[in-house]
Amino acid sequence: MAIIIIRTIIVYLALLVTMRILGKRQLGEMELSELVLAALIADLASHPLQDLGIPMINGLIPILTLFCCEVLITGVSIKSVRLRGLLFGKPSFLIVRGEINQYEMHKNRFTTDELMQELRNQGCTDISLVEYGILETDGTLNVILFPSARPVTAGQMGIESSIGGYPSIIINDGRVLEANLKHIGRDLNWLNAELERQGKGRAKDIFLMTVNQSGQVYIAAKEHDS
Amino acid sequence: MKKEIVAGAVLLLLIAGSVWNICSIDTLAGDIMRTLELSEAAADSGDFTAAKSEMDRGLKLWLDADGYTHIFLRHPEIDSTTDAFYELQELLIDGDSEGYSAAYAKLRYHLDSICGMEHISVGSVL
Repeated sequence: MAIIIIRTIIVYLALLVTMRILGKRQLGEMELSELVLAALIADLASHPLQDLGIPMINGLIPILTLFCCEVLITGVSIKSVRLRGLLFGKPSFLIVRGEINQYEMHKNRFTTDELMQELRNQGCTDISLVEYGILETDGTLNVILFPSARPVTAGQMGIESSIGGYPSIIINDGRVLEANLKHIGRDLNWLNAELERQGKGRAKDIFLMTVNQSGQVYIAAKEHDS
Repeated sequence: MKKEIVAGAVLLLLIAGSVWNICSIDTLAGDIMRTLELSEAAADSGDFTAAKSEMDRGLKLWLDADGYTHIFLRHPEIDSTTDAFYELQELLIDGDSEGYSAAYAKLRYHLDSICGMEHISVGSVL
């Protein structure tokens, strides 16, 4: 049991360091410790299932140990900026004011093909239009265009736009979610009146009903059973 | 912060559990080893009935700990130790004065091996 705990911690730290050295391009939208955890847990959990000669506890202890390590490491890294930088790295500026930072590209093992692919994914084909290309700690590339190349916003055009706000689900497959109804400041009387006003019948006949913060209602009736 | 404290506490609990596990397996193996010593001494003096009786006591200790061993030890290790017990038992029933020493040594080796696997050492960690 003690050996399992020690081995788990050693392997966890070894993978963390290895992945850290390999660079952000290995991560693919996961934080470093999350990737290590995902890589280890899937394998650990399968062993006691495949081999009945291994006690179940030999699979559970490493998972519990990894969970504790992950919570402790992420917890400490939230408190300490220096440790966070050490463990998870810092964002890398691959493009600065339209210029490729070759040192950062090399450091992160990022090829020009990959850079161009990432730019194309974000609808950009011209590096000279990119003010900043930032490789985040989870491996994603964020592209910030020069102000002259950014899409015009309603604010810049002086056009007033209504704020719809977040839509709350009020009826989900015939069930009224009363907590959400209360959250938007309405009650069942309002709901019944609204359904009657729109000629949609009773709540159990509704597949989905949402109401956003400006009071806009969306209703999808249930399809009849065939 | 609450989450981190719980995680730290769980980790400490696991470490305490593993120390308890080492002590438990040492106690179990130690008790069985003592019965084996008495059994072998009886066998050496030619009293195979007393040797079998002591060995049976050791076997009972081993089988009674089944609930513990099946949770914490690899099942092939448990099976080979149990097999070693029954091999020795057979030799003592037959009064085989030639082969019993090797059977005792084999059983001791299995028990030592089980303890060794649980003890923290560079060899067992790596």
